[in-house]
Amino acid sequence: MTQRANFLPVRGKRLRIFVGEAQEWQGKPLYRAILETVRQQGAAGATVMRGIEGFGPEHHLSSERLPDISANLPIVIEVVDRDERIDALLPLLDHIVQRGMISVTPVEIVYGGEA
Amino acid sequence: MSLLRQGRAQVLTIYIGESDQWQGVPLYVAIVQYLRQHGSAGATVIRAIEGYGAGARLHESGGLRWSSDAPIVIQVVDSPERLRRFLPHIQEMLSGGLMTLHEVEVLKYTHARRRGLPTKLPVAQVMETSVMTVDLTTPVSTIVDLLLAAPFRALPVVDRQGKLQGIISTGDLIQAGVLPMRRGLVRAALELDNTTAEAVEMPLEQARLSKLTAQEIMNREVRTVGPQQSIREAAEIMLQTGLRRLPVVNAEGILLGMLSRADLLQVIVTSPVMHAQASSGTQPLHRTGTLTTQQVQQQPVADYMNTDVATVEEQAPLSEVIDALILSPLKRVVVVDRERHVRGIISDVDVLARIQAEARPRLLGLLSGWARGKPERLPTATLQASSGKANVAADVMNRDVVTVPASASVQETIEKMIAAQRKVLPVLNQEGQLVGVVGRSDLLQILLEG
Repeated sequence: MTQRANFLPVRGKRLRIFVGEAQEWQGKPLYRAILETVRQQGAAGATVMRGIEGFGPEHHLSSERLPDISANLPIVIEVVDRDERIDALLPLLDHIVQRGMISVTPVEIVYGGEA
Repeated sequence: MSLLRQGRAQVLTIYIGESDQWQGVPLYVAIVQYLRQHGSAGATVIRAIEGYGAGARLHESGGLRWSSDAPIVIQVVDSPERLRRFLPHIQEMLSGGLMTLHEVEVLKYTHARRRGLPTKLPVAQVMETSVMTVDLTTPVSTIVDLLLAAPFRALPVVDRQGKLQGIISTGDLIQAGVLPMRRGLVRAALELDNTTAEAVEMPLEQARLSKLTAQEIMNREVRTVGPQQSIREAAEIMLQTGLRRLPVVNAEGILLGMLSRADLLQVIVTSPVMHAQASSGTQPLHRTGTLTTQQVQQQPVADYMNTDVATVEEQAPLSEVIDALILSPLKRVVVVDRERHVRGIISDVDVLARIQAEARPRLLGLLSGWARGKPERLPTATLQASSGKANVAADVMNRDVVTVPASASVQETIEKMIAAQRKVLPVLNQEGQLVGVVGRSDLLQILLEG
């Protein structure tokens, strides 16, 4: 990443991928597979967050408060990049995210974003 | 749980502290519980490691303190209507903190691993739970205004206990002589010239003066479904009865929600599709991959279309267009050339909007008779003999036609209908010739086969 004194804002998108920690893709954790895919495609960065509680399309509550159902805590992966990079990522992510949610919001990147 | 539709949604982000409490339980737990019980599409709670907020108190996790008060962020992605319904309740639970709302596009939202159409899905997961109701004594004037302004077409009538007593659709208003014709026409007429607007305003004014109440005009013989009945059963009822929406009631007769034809079509669009390599269902963002396993929703629309299409040529006189409109089951006439290439499409609203102003009240009278089930009143010379511009089909047709190829899948067809906001699409063969039309009921059929 190069630093510049005056960074020109770039139109980008924030992708949020909501999956479960226990979900797997080809034998490894799904969130890691997502992270690798995103990196291979040259996205500027990605952040993985583990939630402490939540529910989703299947209505299963997972919570760290209850040990018996804590094996599948919610995972949120955020990727912010320029429009064209995010658009290129979508078909790949669509393929590996079999269950979960993908949402996208336009953002203005006011600093960073260069791989 | 209620399913979330793909497309526009909102994210509600709630910032609170981990030690915040609500009636003896951690606040974030109470919020998640509330959302789950009230059918939200989903929520995720994230614990941050440090921060400060409205309370100006430093949130900190770990360190030497045992009782952690880390910042908590709850993200709720849901439909704007549902979020609006949740907000006041969540606000009540908060004492400090921050909530923001912003738009997102949901690209993907998949439920369980299923193959093909989830025809066994319970109605409760698909129905609209944010429903406007009226009570038995609501005056007709209020009902007319509600139905004219609202996006929905039927108002359930409930008693004080929330038990369903009847339903009032625009059709019932027409039958009761309150509404002169179908809503789309009324709305269109009100936008046109003064004389035309007056022709519609008069009966509407009379309706507003009417002393009738909901219980006198409502339809008491309501077909309902239970929340646990499958969407397939609901589709069967709709197709058998021609009803476009069904109230969902529990065993006690309490209204839980409304299920519309559009809700069911949406399920077909969002239900999982098989990928070439994948072993479980998913909804592709871009339908580029080849599909090895044919799913029912991937069948070509040609299998479901009506081949009996009302058509006219561009030079057909208006009287012929209106005859064809009245007889057409989908209430659309497709304008074609000699080679059956589509030139335009005509609905009653198109005719009304494009014929000369003097002929409009006459046309409205005709369509009003039609709405009351008197289609035998065919137009007379008044329509074709006027010296104005609109004399033939080409003068009144909508040239912006949205069509589908006969090879398009049912799913693609529904997506196109939703995106283009059209209810009827002409179907074309490879040569671009008209081979049929497809309406929403035709596509609903596939729920019976899935």
